[in-house]
Amino acid sequence: MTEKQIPVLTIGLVTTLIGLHWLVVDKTLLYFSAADIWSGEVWRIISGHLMHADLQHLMWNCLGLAVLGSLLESQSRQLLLATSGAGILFVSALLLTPFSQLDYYCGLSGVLNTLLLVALWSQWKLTRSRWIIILAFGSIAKVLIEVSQGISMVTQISWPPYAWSHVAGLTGGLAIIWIQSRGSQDRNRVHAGF
Amino acid sequence: MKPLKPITLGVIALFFTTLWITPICAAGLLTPTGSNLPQLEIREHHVNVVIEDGYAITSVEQVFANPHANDLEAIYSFPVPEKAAVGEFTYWIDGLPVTGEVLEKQQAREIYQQEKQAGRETALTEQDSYRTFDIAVYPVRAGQDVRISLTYIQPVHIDTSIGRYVYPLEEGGVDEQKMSFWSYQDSVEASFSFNLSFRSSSPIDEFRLPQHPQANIQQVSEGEWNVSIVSEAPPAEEGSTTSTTPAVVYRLNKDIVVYWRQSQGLPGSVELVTHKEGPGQRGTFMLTLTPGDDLEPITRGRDWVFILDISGSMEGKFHSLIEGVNRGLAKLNPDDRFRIILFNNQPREITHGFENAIPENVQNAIRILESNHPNSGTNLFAGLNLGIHSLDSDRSSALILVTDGVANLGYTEKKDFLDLLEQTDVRLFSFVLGNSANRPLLEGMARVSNGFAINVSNSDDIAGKLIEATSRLTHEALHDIDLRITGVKTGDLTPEHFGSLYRGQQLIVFGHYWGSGEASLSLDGKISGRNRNYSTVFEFPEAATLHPEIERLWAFAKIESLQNRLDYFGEDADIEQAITDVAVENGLVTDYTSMIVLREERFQELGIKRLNRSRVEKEQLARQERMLKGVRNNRVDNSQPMYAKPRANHGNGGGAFDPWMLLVLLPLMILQLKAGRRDQ
Repeated sequence: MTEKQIPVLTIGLVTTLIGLHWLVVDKTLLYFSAADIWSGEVWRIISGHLMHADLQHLMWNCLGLAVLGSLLESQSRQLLLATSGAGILFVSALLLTPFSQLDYYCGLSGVLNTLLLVALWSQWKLTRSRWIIILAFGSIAKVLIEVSQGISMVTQISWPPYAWSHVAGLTGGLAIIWIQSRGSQDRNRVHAGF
Repeated sequence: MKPLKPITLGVIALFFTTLWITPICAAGLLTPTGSNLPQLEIREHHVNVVIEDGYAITSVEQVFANPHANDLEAIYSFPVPEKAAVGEFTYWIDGLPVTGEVLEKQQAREIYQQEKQAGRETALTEQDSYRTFDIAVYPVRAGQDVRISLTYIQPVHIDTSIGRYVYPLEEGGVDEQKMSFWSYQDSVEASFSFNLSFRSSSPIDEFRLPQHPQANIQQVSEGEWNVSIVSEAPPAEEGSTTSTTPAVVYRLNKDIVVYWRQSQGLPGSVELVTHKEGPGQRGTFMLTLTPGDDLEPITRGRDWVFILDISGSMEGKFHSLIEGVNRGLAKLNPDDRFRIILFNNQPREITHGFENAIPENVQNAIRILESNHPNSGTNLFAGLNLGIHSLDSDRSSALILVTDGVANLGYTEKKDFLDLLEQTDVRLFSFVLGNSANRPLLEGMARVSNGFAINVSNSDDIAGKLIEATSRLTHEALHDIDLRITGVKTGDLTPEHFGSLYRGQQLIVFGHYWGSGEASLSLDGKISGRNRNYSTVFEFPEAATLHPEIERLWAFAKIESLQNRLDYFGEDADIEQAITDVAVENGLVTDYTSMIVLREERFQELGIKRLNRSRVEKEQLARQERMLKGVRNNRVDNSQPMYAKPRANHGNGGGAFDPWMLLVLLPLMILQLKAGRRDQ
């Protein structure tokens, strides 16, 4: 395997999630908390997404990150970074509004939804497979069911599910896709001599 | 040997932290240190818990073995569970279970001694104040086993939509005299099991045992859950004749804490559980009010006085205490002010009057705190006194007390503490650490100050406790509560005074009723000076026989109330007699009454009526009947909901990828691989 094929960033991120889960004694210092962020504990904007409530929570999110991170990193490390950043931005923005009404939030799943949508888009561009459309609609439908029912469909973690973070994550993914499309259009215009 | 000594005082302190120390001692069999008496063995320890209809019934069955050549007495001690009414104690004599009877403490002790001296089978359960229940069993015959069982009942509280059950096993160990007198044997050598059966009409999202990941948690059906921990010694190999050291299958040195989380969005509610034999009889009820989440966050600046125990018992936990205070201070707003008082033999302040809770001041205070070392005794009164006299009467103030609660210097009587707190209008928030802390003292002080006391076990989820405390401290509370029931005659309500309700807290009221029919319930209180009223109507049934345990729960609450009066007014023979009477009538072990088991014929010969046996039989029948019936919904305010808003929850949230997402991730990976091959 060549150096380029090794998803170093993804491995690093997964290791960080596991390390934080096992090494941090007092997780309340790192959970996302809008009140604490407004009072100056700004690190929580990022650390909240990296902390997990329990082992099951951590395990599924690490699996998701390993797969989606590798997919995106195989195309471009910058793409993975930008997508993760957009996910954090959109999910955090939601959690900082009074709409969320959460005191504490943790977990990467909101951001993973950003990665998922961008990964699907990237695969669509590469393969034009109809499967991608089905998968995208399936993912969106699952999130909508979770939001409408206020449940987590399969996984039971020790904190109540907060499906709106998935909606925010998907929105972040749409933003990245839009920016990418705009970039492509601009490049096409340049090539076309506009 | 004396019949029973009070066993252990213990203190395990914690303040918002995860760094615990290994407990010094635990529940277990006791042997006098330095004596030539050989140790008995705990062969089996089985705990069965049933939680339904707002209360928990815990039955602990044990087998003690005597591998030695002489007959011995077994003395088993365990921490007093929170608000536990011990009403059933059984000793297997000649292979048959014999249920105990409750007598006045001294009388029970004398009979136990008398039977023991005569070489007859006998067993005794005593309560040593807030510290321990102590069981003595005689004889454990040479080379034989004895089997005993103890059952207690407790109301179950839901706090901010989180239920919590604790099977206490840890003790602290600050009473050096007693510690040096006894040695503990806390190893179970053949078989241990903990089975919790939970039934509730409120949907539950999840069960959790933070310190027991090996627990098996199963949802049996809608509203029914089972939690179990099982540990057994492997069977001996066939043909093996060699005697080896007994295996230790479980150590009784760590509390078992079980949490369950109710689904979000459940309505605030009123639930009623009753017991009434029939028309014309007096009924007993348990009313549980779970308020809606209508208490607003507090935004104005307040004063906080931290009163911290740095006595010798805090050694080893001091850094954790500092960490906790640091975090507590970090939660304050810049408009808040704080001061820190430390106490051991004497109190002293380490801040210079009130300081604004800005990072610079907080860091300075923590630096000074770090330069201290725990030592000496616990002059809790002096610490509290200095805290109270440092308040600024122009501002809203609160005291945060973190201590083991076992005051052993200066004023130590509960009455003195209550008097002190009555003199000032200030809320006291206590953190009661470990099973051996003086909970009655700390809870009593919290009650008279309209504050609250939070119990923390070593096995608790500390992050959850922090969130719980923060939620209460940062929201308004409902004060000056007055509860009235009209339409049906009620009486003997307990608690008699309701104090304050903080965000997420339930109000549980016991009482008697006469007659039946529609009753109106009205709850009045004040939130930040504004009057607030909640009301509803519900039916008291003519007859209800499914929950006879409610009578004991009422009696226990009544005894608590009488004990509070005793603490407040000092020694009073009438109140003590009233406690004894209520305890004997309802078959409860208290500081004034004990439960004794004798050979069946000896009960008759000594003229002891088998009242408790009849009560236990009735309760056991009711339990069987409840098992056969489905999960019951005890909510009674459906037609006129008492609360407009859903009940409070912690406002936590998280989300996880799950097996469904594999359906998306796997095809993605396949497509990616295909694309990769095409590129090559």
